[in-house]
Amino acid sequence: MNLIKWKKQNNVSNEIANLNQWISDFFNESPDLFTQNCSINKGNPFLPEIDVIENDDRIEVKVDLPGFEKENIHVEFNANRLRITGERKTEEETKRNHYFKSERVFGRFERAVTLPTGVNAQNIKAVYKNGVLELTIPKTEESKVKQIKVN
Amino acid sequence: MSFYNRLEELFDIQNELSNFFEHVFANTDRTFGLYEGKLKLDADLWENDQEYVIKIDVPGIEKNQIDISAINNTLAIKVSRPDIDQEEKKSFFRRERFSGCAERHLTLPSKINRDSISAVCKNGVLEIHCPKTEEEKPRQITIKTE
Repeated sequence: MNLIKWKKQNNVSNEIANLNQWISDFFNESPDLFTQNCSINKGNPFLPEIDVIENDDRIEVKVDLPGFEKENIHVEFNANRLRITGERKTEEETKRNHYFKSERVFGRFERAVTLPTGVNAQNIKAVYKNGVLELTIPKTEESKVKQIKVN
Repeated sequence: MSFYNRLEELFDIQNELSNFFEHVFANTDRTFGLYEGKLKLDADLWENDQEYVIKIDVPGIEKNQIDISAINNTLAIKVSRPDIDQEEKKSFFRRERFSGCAERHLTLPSKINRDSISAVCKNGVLEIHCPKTEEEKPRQITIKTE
């Protein structure tokens, strides 16, 4: 939430200007929300859940992707924006007579996140284990949290 | 004529905007990545002549945190994933994945041989095979001609 400067006079044009600013901020600050909800994912039920955790010296990204092959998961990084795409192929089963439940989703998915701080893209580590894709992205020196001593 | 065209265009735009905002705000919590989700335990269940097969998505769950029990022909599957909050110095920028316990009950359409149920967990997918009892397996009935 941004701080808005307190203005003494409270007339209508000020309020409208504030509202304009708020709407601008809203759309500018969160491009991720809209790409996810409006582009190729519209109508596509496959949106794997993603956690982005910020530590002192690194950012961890975890995506729930059960039942994938490593080769079908792709991670791209560009200008602090992480883009994870992939495809879960429908499984070839031997003899399936009759389905009672079919809830699992297959097919393509795409998720993108803009990372909160500057990161060192050279050393991104990606591991796919137990159906979870874990990315560890070290922060740049300036972005690391530094403790400041109070005298 | 041209006036009505313009009016229609305006209504179209209004519809588009309405749909847009509805779609974006439909899952506000999920959209803003602020909450912790619930594990749905999506399941596929099908049968063949010999057995019932269940496949459940259980991402990030270790084998020893899955508990499967069977009462008659109902399977109870409990899973748990450690609470992420307990680790130090973490601040969530975006949080959608669940942590904690989840449970699902699946009732199979007919009797199963409880002693020969087998389960495998690989890549975050739990696969359970429940063999049918002998009486439940389909039998071919030959038609005699008189």
